Amino acid sequence: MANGFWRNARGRGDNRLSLAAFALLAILLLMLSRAQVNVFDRARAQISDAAAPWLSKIEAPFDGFNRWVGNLTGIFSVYSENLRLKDENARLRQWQGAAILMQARVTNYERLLHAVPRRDTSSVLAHVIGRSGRPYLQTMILDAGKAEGVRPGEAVLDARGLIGRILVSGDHTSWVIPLKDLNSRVPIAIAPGNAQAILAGNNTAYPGIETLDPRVQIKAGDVVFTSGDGGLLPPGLPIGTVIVQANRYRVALFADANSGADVEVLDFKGIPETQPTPQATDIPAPPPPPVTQTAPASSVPAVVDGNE
Amino acid sequence: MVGGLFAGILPFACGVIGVVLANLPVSFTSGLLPPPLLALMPVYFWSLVRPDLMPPWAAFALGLLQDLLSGMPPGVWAASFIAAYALIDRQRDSFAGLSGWAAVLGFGIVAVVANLCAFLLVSFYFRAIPPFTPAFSLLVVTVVLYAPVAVILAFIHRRLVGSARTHL
Repeated sequence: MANGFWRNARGRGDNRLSLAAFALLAILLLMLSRAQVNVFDRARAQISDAAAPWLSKIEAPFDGFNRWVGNLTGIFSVYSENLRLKDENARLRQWQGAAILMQARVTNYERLLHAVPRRDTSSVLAHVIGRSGRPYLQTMILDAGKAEGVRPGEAVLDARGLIGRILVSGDHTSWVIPLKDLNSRVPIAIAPGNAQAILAGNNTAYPGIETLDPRVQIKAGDVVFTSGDGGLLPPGLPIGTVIVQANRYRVALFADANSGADVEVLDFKGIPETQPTPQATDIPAPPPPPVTQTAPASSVPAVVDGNE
Repeated sequence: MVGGLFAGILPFACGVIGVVLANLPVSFTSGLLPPPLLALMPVYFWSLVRPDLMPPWAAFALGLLQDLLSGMPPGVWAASFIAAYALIDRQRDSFAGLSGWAAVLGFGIVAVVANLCAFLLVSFYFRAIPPFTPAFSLLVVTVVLYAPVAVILAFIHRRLVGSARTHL
């Protein structure tokens, strides 16, 4: 009996030691990961590559069920939704006319100014084979990877706008980080006024707007699109509209990461931002020495008389 | 009872199956509810009934596998599972004496510790406080699903693994 107690106590003591060691190891891994040494990315890509054939088979029946559940609430508001859509369609047709007119005008101006033509971006069409909404990370898995030209950081869009960016790409699959995910940070511009800010995911349906110049005035309904800062995403991709929630600016996204089955991955090669070469003129000139009001009479004569 | 080696790896295998099932990139509820933390259930169950078959390294490995498959920064669930294991190890006699709904409550306490640890580590990692509601949903879904999963685990324990042969 006594021996049993001793063995139990020894066992618990060993456990405590190993628990402390494993806790330390976990914290160390977390800190390494924080320092951008993500050893897991390659393993994740390999796992999703290996599981891709089964994923698409498993996902198919649930995809239909989830769409059915998603549309269930819409059945009860079909009539009012139809009226709203008709109204919206009429307004969009007006805007379409205005946009065509503006496009023609811009093309004319560009021709007159001999503007450098914008580079076309190629894209890859991919199918969503997996989607998960966990409390701290929301991801989508696409059936296109490095073999199809998909690289980490590239923009992922559906027909309505930007969904997110590629987080990890394997040989034939890739993980997407949606805009609303806690990890997501995207440089944005808000029109009208072209206010620059960062769209920060917060794991809710409405990501927040950060680093907005406090002097800039924006309002609900303003349109948000990518600014292209950093050269990772092309400028001008539609993201959403500004809304105000609890006195904070947030963005209602155009794209719905939960419903789209096919997405487009943009291969954008932005011009890398280079730091300008420092010039001598960058350094502000030293301030002039303070002018003394009362100079000594013997050093410099105040008035030179030509007769002297 | 089955062979010693198979019975020995079965508790850990239950955890691995839990991690894989919970991290299938398919939502069974159209995204309304998060997938439960299935891997924590075998960790709790086996570390109470057969701690010799669920040592700390197994809890750590299951947490790390959860990190790997869920896309979380490596170490978040590993540290959380170790925190949960430390609580079970410290209060083993109290938890082992619980039965019925009290056992579910016991698991609930352990799940709160694991989720709170993950919440704090994620807040530290991203330097932002994540929304509380999804984290709470994860906790509720995990605790609610413990009762049916515990029935399966108890069946595996009775039929395949068996009781401990030592006092350790």
